[in-house]
This record gives sequence, C-alpha cells and structure tokens, in this order.
Amino acid sequence: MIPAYDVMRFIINVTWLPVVLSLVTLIWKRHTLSLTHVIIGVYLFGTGMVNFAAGRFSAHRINNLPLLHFYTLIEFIGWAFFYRVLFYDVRWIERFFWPFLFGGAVLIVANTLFLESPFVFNSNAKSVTQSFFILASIYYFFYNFGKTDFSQPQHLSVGLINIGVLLYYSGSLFIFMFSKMLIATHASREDQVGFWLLNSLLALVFQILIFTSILITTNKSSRKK
Amino acid sequence: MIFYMTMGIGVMLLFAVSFVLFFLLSQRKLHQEQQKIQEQNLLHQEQLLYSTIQTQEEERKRIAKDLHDDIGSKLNVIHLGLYRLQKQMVDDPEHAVIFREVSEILQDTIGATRRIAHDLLPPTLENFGLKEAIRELCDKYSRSGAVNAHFEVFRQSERPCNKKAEVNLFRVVQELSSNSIRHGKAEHILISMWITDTEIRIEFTDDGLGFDPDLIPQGKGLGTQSMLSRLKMIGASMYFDTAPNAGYKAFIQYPYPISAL
Repeated sequence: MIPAYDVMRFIINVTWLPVVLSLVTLIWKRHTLSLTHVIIGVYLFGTGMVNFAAGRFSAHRINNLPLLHFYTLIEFIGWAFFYRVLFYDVRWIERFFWPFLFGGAVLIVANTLFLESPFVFNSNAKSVTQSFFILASIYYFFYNFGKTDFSQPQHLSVGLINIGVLLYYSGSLFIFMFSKMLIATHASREDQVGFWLLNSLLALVFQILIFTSILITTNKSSRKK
Repeated sequence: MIFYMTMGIGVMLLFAVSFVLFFLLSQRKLHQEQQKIQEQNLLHQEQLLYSTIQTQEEERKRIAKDLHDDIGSKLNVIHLGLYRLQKQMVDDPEHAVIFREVSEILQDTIGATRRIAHDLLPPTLENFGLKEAIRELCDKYSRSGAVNAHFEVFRQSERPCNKKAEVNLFRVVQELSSNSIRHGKAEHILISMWITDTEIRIEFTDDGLGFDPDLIPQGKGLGTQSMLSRLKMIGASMYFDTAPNAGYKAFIQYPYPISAL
C-alpha cells in the first residue's frame, strides 16, 4: 500500500499543473480578462510563489510556517478584492470595504506579532479568514439567486470559483483550526498526514475549478474577437 | 479531538456540497419557471398580434365591401340622377358650368372610392387568386411610374391555395414592394413565383439601396415584424439577403399544410 504521505506529496505536485496552466492561460489572454480574473491571476501568482518557497524551505529543513502567516495575509487581501468586484453594486460592502480590509490585515499581522508566533500554525487568523471566505461565497450565492444564468460563460466562470471557494475553505476550516492543537497534543503522524492529505485533495479540486473557470472565460473572449 | 475534527470537516463539507447542490437545483428550477412564463408571454403576444392582423384584415374587407357596394353604388345613382336632372333643365350657361363641375367632382369621388376599396382588398385577389393579384400589383406600380415591376410565374401545379394564406402572402409582397420604393429607392423589382404541389415559393428582388442588416436592431423594423408575423401565422417562412448598395432579396416559402396535401 502507498503511504498516505507519498499520496499527499503526489497530489501537491499534481496541483502545480492547474496552477501553472491557469497562470499561462491568464498571461496569454491578458488583454481579454475581466477584473475578477486579473485578481485571480495575482492571487494564483502569490500562491505559486509562496508554495514554491515553502517547498524549498521544507527541502532545506527550514521551518516554513512564517510563509503561511504571510500567505494568510495575501490570501485575505486577494479574496477581499475579488468579492469587492463581485459585489460592486452592494452599497454596504462598498462603504465598509476599506475599513474591513485594513482592520482584517492589521488583525492578521497583530495575531502573528502578539498571539501566534510565526513559527507555529496561525490557526486563529486562518480560521477567521477562512470563515470570511465561506460567508462571502454563501452571500454571493444568496445575492445572485435568480440573477445567475449559468448558460452565460461569465456567470458560470465566477460561479465555479465560488463553488471552489466554498468547498475548499469549508473542508479545510477545521484542519487549520485544529492544526496547532494536533501538534500540541502530539497526534500521530498518520492522523496529521490524513488531514493534510484531505486538504491537498480539496486544494487540487479548487485549482481545477479555477482553471476551468479561466478556460471558460477566456474561450468566451476568444470567440467574441 | 481527532474524532471531533473529522466530524467538523465532514459536517462542513456536507454543508458546502448540499448548499451548492441546493443552489444549483433551485436556480435551475427558477430558470425553467422563468423561461416558461417568458414563453407563455411570447405566445400570448403572438396570439394577440395574430388576432390583430386577422381583425385588421376582416375590417379592411368589410370597409372595402361597404365602400364598393354601398357608398360606391349610391354615388353612381347620384351621378345618374344628376345626369337626368341636367337633361330636364332649361339651357342656362351658368347652370351648365355648375353641373359640369359637380359631375366632375362626383366622378372623381366615385373613382377615389373604388381605388380605396381596391387598395383595401383587391377584388382580383378575391376573385382570381394570389398570382393575378401580384400581377395586377406589378402592373399598377409600373403604370404609376414609381418603379419598373416585373412578375413571372412558374406554375407546376393547379391546386388552389387557401384564401387566408393568399391574403397574407399578398400583403407581404405588397409591403416588400412598398419598402423597395419608399426606403430602397429601387428602380426595378422582380417577383418570381413557383407554385408546386407542396408549396408556394416567392423570390423578391430589387435593385435598391439595400442596407446593413447588422445596423438594424435584431434585423426587425415594424414592417418586417408584421411581415414575419403574417408568414408565421400561415406557417410560411422568409429570409432576406441585403447589403449596402447591393439591393434587397427576400425568399418566401409557404409549404401547404399537411392536412391540405
């Protein structure tokens, strides 16, 4: 039987494929992209860079958790801008966006500085930001109920990203929430790997959905031309 | 803790998947309902348009009949009476002038009444059918000098066409001709008609200004919409081919209803 750790490593490596393909497609079709996909492109680039650095750190047996703290901040800012574009016509979101973004970013940094050291899991910040992503995704579905037409490429494309956000962050919320405790309670390596395996599987599904979304929106743009 | 964590992940994933499925299914159901309502509205509008066209046609027929049979014949009687009165009156040059003027006005009025009645519903269409009505229409246009209209028929069948279809096909040809003269500024019109056992095909060609179909929203003005509705009402279809300074071509196909074959 293949050990869970190897399967996880394999899935993580495979996840690079949709990420790279998404980035290449976005760069190739950069002139026809909507603002949501430009933000997705920047987010994917940040994700790719941080993951690449995390892999290098890990290979040199350097603690890569500070990168997770940094990534939490990038992730928060990226998705905040993404949802701001989606809810451009919601007045209360427009009104509170900048205080929310600034407050959120300060809390994430403050958490790293005062509550959770950069060398341990930032479960607090991760749980809060992931809950925010889940809520934003649910709100998107509620807000667009009856207005979305999935036969239109742009609607389908954004819908797929939201499905991905909801699935990935719902699945991984408890993993990150308890990740610090798993280490603190000396949970077995098999148990820990099991959870991270699930997380990597969800991340792969998420990236495939993002790539599909990009393909749909860029194909539409090509046809338009 | 592992148990609670697993439970938490399971519950959250179940929630997410159920939410997405619920959204997609509800959205689909809502869309289907909206589409159904839209289709019903469209059908209602179409039926309304059909009944308007039908009422319009019946009204035209009634007014034409009244003009011709009632007013027209009474005017003729008045004209005859006037003629008799003129004979009985003593010769007075002043009276003779007035009589002549009244007689001329009366004759003009009789002519105008007949023309209006014919325009409303050509008796040729009623009595001799579509082919002769189109021929008469072309002759009328050519005689008026508005356009040089030519009509040719390729008859391969003797089967009669139903009146409702004939009236609507005639109205469409009338509208096409009128458009060519008014908007297309055409100098020549050619109408070709094929009558077979299964269908009637009409090809309408002019050498007018034409237009860019993309510049007209959905390719439909009021006239075009009315033509398409008339054709749809009898189960016929039409498509056209035009470009700026390249004239206008319309192809009409009326297949006989299966029950009538």
